[in-house]
Amino acid sequence: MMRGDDRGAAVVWGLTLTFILTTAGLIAASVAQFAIVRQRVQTAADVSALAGAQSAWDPCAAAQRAAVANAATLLACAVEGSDVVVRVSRPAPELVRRVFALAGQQPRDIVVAARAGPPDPSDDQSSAG
Amino acid sequence: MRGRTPVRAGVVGGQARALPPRTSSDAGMVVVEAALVIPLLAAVAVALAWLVGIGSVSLSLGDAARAAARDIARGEVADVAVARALETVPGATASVETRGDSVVVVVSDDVRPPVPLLSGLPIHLRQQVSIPREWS
Repeated sequence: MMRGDDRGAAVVWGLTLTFILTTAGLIAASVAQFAIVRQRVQTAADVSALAGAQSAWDPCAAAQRAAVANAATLLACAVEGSDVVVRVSRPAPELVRRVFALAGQQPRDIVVAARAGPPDPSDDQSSAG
Repeated sequence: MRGRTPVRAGVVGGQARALPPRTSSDAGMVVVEAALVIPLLAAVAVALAWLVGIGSVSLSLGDAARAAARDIARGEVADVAVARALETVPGATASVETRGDSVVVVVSDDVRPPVPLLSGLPIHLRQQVSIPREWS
């Protein structure tokens, strides 16, 4: 630095680029983690609704068990006609919470709704989430 | 870094005495610094690529697990459903095990780092879905 203009320039550029890439990586990692957890909540909601729809006695108890077995919380469960509608949630993943904490905020829980009913012979679709 | 500086400075100084420098006498330093920094950048880039691979494989595994669970819910035999779901994730393995009153379908795969040197250190990814036992 004392000897001329160029000395240290490569290090400065390199570290700047490294910093930018690392930040991009952090963002990518939290987005990926969010997507993965969201997918798991979606799966839990599907299974929960299907379990409710296939339960003869107490649909919401079955939905509850299925949600818990998939590491999610059953927020709401309703029987609408022959369909079961559930809302299932899970807290945002750790990395996302940390990134939000940098801004002094808290991310919302991930909530996914799903509906399932018994197979209906009149239309060609079987029970779907 | 600090240990190499006098050697390089001597070389540059020697050149400067022999014939007048065309560019700044620090040009050599920049090359040395770049030589140190570029591997770091390359490592970060490799880590990023690995990360993207981990994310995408993880999501595919989750898709496969979910597809298997849906098929089983429709009345498909568990093994058939799992085998069909695995077709979408080449190289992945799956297991179906009974735990209490639920059946757990586990789909897993190894992601290897995108450099030959580290390919012996795979990351093991798994996605599971727990379904009521009555289904299977």
